[in-house]
Amino acid sequence: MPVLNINGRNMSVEAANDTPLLWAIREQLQMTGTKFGCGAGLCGACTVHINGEAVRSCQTSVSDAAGKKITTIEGLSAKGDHPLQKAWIAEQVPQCGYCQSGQIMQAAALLAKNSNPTKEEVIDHMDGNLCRCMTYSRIQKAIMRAASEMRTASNAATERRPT
Amino acid sequence: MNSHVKINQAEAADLSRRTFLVGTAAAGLALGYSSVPAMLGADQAFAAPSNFDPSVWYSIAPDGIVTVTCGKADMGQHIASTMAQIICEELGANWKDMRVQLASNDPKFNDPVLGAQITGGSWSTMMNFDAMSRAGAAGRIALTEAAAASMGVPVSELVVRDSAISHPKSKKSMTFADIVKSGKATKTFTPDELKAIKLKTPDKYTMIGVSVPQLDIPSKTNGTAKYGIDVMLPGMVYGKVVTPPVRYGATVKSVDDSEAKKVPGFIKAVTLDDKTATTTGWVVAVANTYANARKAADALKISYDGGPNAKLSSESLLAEAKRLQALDDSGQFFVKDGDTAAAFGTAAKVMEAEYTTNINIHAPLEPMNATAQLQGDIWHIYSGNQFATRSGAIAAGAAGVDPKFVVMHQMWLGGGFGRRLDADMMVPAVQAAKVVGKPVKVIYSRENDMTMDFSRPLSGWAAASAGVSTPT
Repeated sequence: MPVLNINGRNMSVEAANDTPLLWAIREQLQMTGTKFGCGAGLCGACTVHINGEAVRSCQTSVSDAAGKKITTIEGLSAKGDHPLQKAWIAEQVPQCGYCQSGQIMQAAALLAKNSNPTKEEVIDHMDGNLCRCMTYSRIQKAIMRAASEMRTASNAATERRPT
Repeated sequence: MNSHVKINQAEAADLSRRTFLVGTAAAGLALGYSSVPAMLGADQAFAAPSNFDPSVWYSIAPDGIVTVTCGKADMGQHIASTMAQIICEELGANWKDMRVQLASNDPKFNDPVLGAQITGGSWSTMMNFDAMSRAGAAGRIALTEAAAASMGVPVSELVVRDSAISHPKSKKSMTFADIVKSGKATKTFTPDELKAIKLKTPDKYTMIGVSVPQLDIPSKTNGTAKYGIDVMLPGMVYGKVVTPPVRYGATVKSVDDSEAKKVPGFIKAVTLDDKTATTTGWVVAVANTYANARKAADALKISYDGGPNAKLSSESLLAEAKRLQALDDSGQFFVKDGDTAAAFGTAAKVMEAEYTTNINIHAPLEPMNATAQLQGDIWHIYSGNQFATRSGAIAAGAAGVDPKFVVMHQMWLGGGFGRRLDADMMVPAVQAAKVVGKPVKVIYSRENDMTMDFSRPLSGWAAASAGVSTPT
């Protein structure tokens, strides 16, 4: 029985090794924030983090994910207050909302490494996440807003550091 | 050119015969229309909802939270928030106190103008504005009268704002929560009284015309919004549809499940019997998980009779369009004005162009899905759908029961675009659940969705000719 480390907790799942991680997360663990969109790695709705990298959980087998650090939208922040989640509300990004867990997870992987991305870097990184409602311009704005907030917070933390 | 369907107000305004009730209920203050006669009083009606069944359009809890029940499908247009906004304007509530929930297919939540639950055409705000405004205003009037009685001041001297009612002269104030807790806000409006309520004029609006944070958005940033595909029921199993090579009219000749039986968790292959002819030749592979249902579906060996449309293709559709267009003695004119033949004859120059478009599919991002559960005599269907009234009837047809035995549980829609006006997904869910005797969640694969849509047809063959006269 594979053991998955999801959002900081070890959970064993009853699933064959070749089962896509997506279905183990959704059905076995009943964490439904991660979405099924295409099952072929083409839309990004199922995006989660594995060891900090954004991956498509519909294309990742349970056995490949076992032993690694998996983060889903439910575990991105303790209270849904990651700078991206706050920016998503401030910019009123979601319409139907179905793609947005994947969008936020994809964006979070970028900002974890680069809190000062250019617009081109954002577009390049978000390129594989589809939104059928066409919220792309707001997604871009929200990522820029979150990045700015993260830099401000980081600067404030630096200033408080004793010299 | 779009032309609007004419709405016959007098015919469809079912609510005009209904009383509006404001009364204390278990959850606080309930406000809604009822067929119960006014003389029985609102509190009694709400206390015995099984007898009188008032439609609770919104309620105010003892903590002041106002919850609006939305009978519309919310597919990203944020109509639930719009309904709350209309009520909030007349009620005088603070936006931060507003919440929304989605209705079932109970006819009491029907659109007041359309007389059914259907969402489309950008009609929802227009057709619900008056009823929602009056519901909000009636609530404000009832709360204000209760506050006036408690404070011992005239109603006319009270100011309603931000979920509170204040009396500026005496500086007394009560919140909506205080008034609900007092249990004194009880009032009944006859249809005539409701109609006579003077609504705010647009120059007095503080909520309408203002951009407010949409109430569903936080749940769509943290994974908690529940779409149809997210429904989980105890003992539920999963279905994956196997669709034939022909969109309409195919039939299943035989199903060989010998390989599918080797898939762990496989339960059964169910061939659909669909009287609506929207899922002709479909089979559902049912298994304990969706991953196993997909494996089993791939392992089924099904032979088909392609039916009358077996040879249909984009090419044959286009050829037929061209054939029809070449006919001079048939077809239909949308506009016939003047003598085009003569005009072309005298034109200095004739320009011709031909246009076509492909078959177009809706492709909402949430794959089509429905979950069906039989409990006692009642079928419970969970699915995000734009036409609950009709979808419930189709689910009933698939189950072989009267529509009154079907409860549709509305969910947030992961995109609609008109695709979810259709009810095909109810058929595999209901029939699979009936055969295996367990709740079944059927999820289409993306491939099923792309090949089995109710597609917009290829736009035939549009030939345009234009005669150009010599500039004078």
